[in-house]
Amino acid sequence: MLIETKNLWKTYIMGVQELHALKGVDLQIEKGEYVAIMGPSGSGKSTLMNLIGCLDTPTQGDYYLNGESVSTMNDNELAKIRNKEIGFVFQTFNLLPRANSLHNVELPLIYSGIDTGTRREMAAKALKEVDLLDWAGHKPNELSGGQRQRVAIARALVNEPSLILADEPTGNLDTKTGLEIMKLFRRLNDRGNTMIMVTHDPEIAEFADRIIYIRDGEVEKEEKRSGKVQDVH
Amino acid sequence: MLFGDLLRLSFEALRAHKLRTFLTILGIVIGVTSVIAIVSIVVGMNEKITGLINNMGTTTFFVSKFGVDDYQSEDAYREARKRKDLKFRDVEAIQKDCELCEEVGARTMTFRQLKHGPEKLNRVVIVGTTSNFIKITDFEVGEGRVHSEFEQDRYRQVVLIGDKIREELYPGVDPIGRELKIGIHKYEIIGVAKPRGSMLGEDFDEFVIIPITTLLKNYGSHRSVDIFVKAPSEDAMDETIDQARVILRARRHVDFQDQDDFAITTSEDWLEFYGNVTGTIQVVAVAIPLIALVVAGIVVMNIMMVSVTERTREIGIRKSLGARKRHIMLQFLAEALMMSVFGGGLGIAFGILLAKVLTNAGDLPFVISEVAILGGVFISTGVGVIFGLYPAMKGARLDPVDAMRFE
Repeated sequence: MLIETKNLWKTYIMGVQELHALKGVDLQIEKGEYVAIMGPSGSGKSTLMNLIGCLDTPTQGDYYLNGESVSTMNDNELAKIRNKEIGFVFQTFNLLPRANSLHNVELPLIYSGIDTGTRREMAAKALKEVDLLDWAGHKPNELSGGQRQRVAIARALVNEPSLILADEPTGNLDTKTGLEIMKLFRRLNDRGNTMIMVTHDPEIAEFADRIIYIRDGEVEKEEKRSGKVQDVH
Repeated sequence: MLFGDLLRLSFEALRAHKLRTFLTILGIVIGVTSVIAIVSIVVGMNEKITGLINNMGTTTFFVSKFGVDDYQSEDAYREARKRKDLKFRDVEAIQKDCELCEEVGARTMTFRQLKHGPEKLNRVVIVGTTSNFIKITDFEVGEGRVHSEFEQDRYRQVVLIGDKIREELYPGVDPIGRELKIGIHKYEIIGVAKPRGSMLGEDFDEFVIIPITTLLKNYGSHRSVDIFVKAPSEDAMDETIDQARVILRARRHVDFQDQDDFAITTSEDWLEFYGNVTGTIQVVAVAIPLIALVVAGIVVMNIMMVSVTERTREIGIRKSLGARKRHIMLQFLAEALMMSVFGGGLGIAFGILLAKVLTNAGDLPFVISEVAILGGVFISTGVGVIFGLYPAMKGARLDPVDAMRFE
């Protein structure tokens, strides 16, 4: 079991009011799975993603990543988990604007303390996997949206994390480019990467093997799929 | 995170905002430059004056009508003016009766016009001394000699001139053996003093020295003389001073319960006097540029705050990729430090240059003060750390989720 959450709660205090973003979520995700977490805005899916991504800690409940309890970790331990175990892909790409593609991909390795030579090699390899090696020296503003997202994916891959966590990865892309990204995700999953994708778009969610529907901070239903995904090949 | 990465990261960030970085560094440069320059000048001045005072030697003391304390206030000065003058006969009495006194000399001075042919110099200081003053002070003769005891006893009209006088009145000729008119009296030049330079516009080479007896005879004996006495050793100073004091008190009929009506001054007293007079000025002189440095520090802090706010998103991204608090803090601290250390380095260089120019202009010794340089390094680094720490911590504490959402 790669991910297991037990009765996960997240409560925000807004003034005097308590806002329950998550109300006891139980999840199990196996290694190598391709899961979409779907729900309308305000459903709590972003909060869930932040918890799974170790960007935030739950108010209550347990979260085990690779059998390790994450809910009790301190900031530094969480940072280490994010660095080694999780690769993020964001809707807005979140690349550093002043750094070129290679340097952007290198970033997680800098915080792992890997030396420059090895780092360059690893980053170049990751860029090659997303077919962007030729664009290694270009800055984000010289790239198209799809290319930027591929740089971000290369960055997510570079540390060989246990899971890739994507938050609306196609949200800022046109349909055709979005489709390309989905193809890439499929390829990565076929190669053994665990993919978790958060989206509100049912068409995008259908590329996953399993869809978890979230509504009002709770798991509404789950759906196993195995049809349409083949179409993108 | 490797150290090299940290440096490169900070350097890149600074390079991205060249003008802003330049202005911030400029503030530190100005602060450090002024601290170094002023400290160097103060140290140079102290060194020169301490040197001058110590020249009279640690085994010599002065007996005079006015002491350093009498210059501290107008009232004290007015009171001291009522005292009886010290006469040349007092010198002779100390010479005769003070067993511990190794050398007893005297000096007095007046101002007169000097004339050689058609050339004149107005208001030159005429120093009358006993012939032994050369044994007591560190006075150095360049050419010729000073007057002898024999000449002194016979009121001879012989003169040793300062280097400036030779330059002005005897350009290109050997002045020794020539005539010099001081006031209305004619003198034979027997020596030239070694040049001593000047300080803060005051020329130390514009003087002539004649026998004290000649001065008192030619220019009036109604003046107080300063007596200088050399003790056999530093340990014997107090005892020697006491002997001289007892002799003078007796001669001047000072009652046993009254205070001395003359002043005895040692080189130590002069140093103390100098310290008292200039101490506050020195502190203020160094404190003002320090304020400039604090202002420079505030500029650093301000810029770092802006930098942190501007890069909130970047901080969020870095944190999501595994940067720890420490990494973010070091990144911003390194940026602040880089500016302040670079500014400090430049400031030290400029400060030394400025100090050289100013000490040259003021005829002061140029002293590269290690204290000032170490202080400059220490202070500029300190400014970077102190004023960079808060913004860096603020950046480091940001929540990754909130930070990434920041527009």
